[in-house]
Amino acid sequence: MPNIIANFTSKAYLAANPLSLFSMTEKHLEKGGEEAETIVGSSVKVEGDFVSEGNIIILGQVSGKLKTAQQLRVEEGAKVLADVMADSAIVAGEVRGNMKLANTLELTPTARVYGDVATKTLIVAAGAILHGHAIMDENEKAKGKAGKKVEEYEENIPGV
Amino acid sequence: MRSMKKISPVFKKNESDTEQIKRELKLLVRKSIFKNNAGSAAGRVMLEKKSGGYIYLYDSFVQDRECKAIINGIEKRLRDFEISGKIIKLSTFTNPKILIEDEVRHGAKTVVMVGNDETFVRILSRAANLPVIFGFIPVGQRKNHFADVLGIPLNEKACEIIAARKIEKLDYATINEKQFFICYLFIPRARLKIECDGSFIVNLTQEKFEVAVANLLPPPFESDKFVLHPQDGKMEVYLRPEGGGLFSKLVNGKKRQQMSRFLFKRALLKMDKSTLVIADGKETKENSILIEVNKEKLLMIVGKNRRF
Repeated sequence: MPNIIANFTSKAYLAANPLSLFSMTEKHLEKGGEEAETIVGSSVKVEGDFVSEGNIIILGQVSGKLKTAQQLRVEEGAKVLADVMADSAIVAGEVRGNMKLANTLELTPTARVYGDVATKTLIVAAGAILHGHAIMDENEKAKGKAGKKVEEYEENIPGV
Repeated sequence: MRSMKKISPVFKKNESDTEQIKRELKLLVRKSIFKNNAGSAAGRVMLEKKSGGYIYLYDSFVQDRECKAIINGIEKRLRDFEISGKIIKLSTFTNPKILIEDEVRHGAKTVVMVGNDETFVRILSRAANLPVIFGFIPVGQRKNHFADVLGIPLNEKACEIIAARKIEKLDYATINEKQFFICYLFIPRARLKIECDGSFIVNLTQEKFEVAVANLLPPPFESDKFVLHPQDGKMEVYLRPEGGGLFSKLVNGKKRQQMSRFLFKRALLKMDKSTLVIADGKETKENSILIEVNKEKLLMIVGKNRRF
C-alpha cells in the first residue's frame, strides 16, 4: 500500500504507549460517571472566549471570557483572568474578574477572588480571599444561564 | 397443479426438491457472474437489486491462501442471509473513491469493507463522503481494533451484524481540505498553538506536547480514562506535556502533568516547525493542520456491543 502507511500501528504512535491500541479493554472505554468536558492543564494558556456546555476544570491559565452551562473548577495554582459565568463553581486558585453563578460558589482555603460575585449560595472556607461585592439572590438561577452576557450581569449589580 | 398434488403426495417432496435445486442453481449462477465479473449489465443490475445493492470490497491480503477458509465461510454466511453481492478485489493501486462512485451509479447502496484496520482507514479516508452505507467485515485476528470499537465480531460472525443492518451516524472530519479523518490523529511531540472554533487560542509554546485528536480510537496516552464520543458532532483534542514518565520521575523528580482536553468543530494547529503527524495511520510532515468536522455524517453498520 503506497498511499497509506502499511504499519497502521506506527512506531511513533506505539512509542507513546505500546499498549494503547492493543488494550482496548472494556475498562477504558467504560462509560464513566460525571466527566469533565474541558480540562485546561497546568502548562496550558487559553486566550479568548471560552464557551462550553459541560464541566470545566482549570489547572493552567485562562484569559478573556469563560462560560459554561455546568460546573467550573479552578484548581490550586490555576489563574483565571476572565469574567466567569457558570452554573456553579469551586475555586481553589485565583480568579480576577466578575463571577456569576446560577447556583453555588464555593471558595476553598486557597481561593483568591478579585471581583464581584453573584450567586444563589456562597460557601467561603477559612483562609479564602474575596475582594469585591457579593450578591446572593434566590432568583439568580433564572438569570444565570450560560450564554447571557456578563455586561447584563454588571448592570444588575448595584454600584457597578 | 392442485390436482397433481392431490394425486400424488410423493410429488410434494419432489416439488420441494425442485425448488431447492432451482434456488441453488440461481445462487451458483449469481456466484459465477459475480466472481468472474463477466455478467451482462442488465444481469448485474438485476442481481444488485435483488441483493439490496451490496458490494464487497476485498483487501488484497484476504485473497491470500491463509484467508481462503475464512473468506469461504464469510461468503457462505452472506448467501445464507441473502445479502451476497458483487465482490471487488482491491489492488494496491485501486482508488476506492472512484471505484465506489462508479458502483453507486450502478445502484450500490451498501459498501462492505472486507479486511482489517488498514482496509477500513484506507477506504474511508477517501470515500467517507459518498452517499452509501458502509459495513465492515474484519478478517483475521490481528489489526482489528476498529471492529471492537464498532461492536463487530471477527470473520464470518460479522455477517450477522451486516445482515441486522443497525446503522449509526458517525462523525468524521477533513484534514487540510483533502483527506478524511475517521479514527485518530497523533503528533508525537510539538510546540504549537491551537485555534479552536475561531473563538479561543490554546497556547502550547512553553514546552513540547504530545497531541492526539480522538474520534474512533482513544489517544495513545492514559487511554484508560477515555470514553469515545464519535457521534457528538465534535472532535476531542488531548494534550500532554512531554516528560514526567517513569524515567524523568526517577531522575529529575518531575511529575507527569495533568493532560488537557478540548472539544472543537474546527481547529487550526500551527506548529513551530515541520512536524510528524500521523492521521489514521498515514504519516506526513506538516507545519499546520486544519481539522474541520463535516456536517454530513458517516453511515456505518454497527453491532450492539459497540463502544460508544
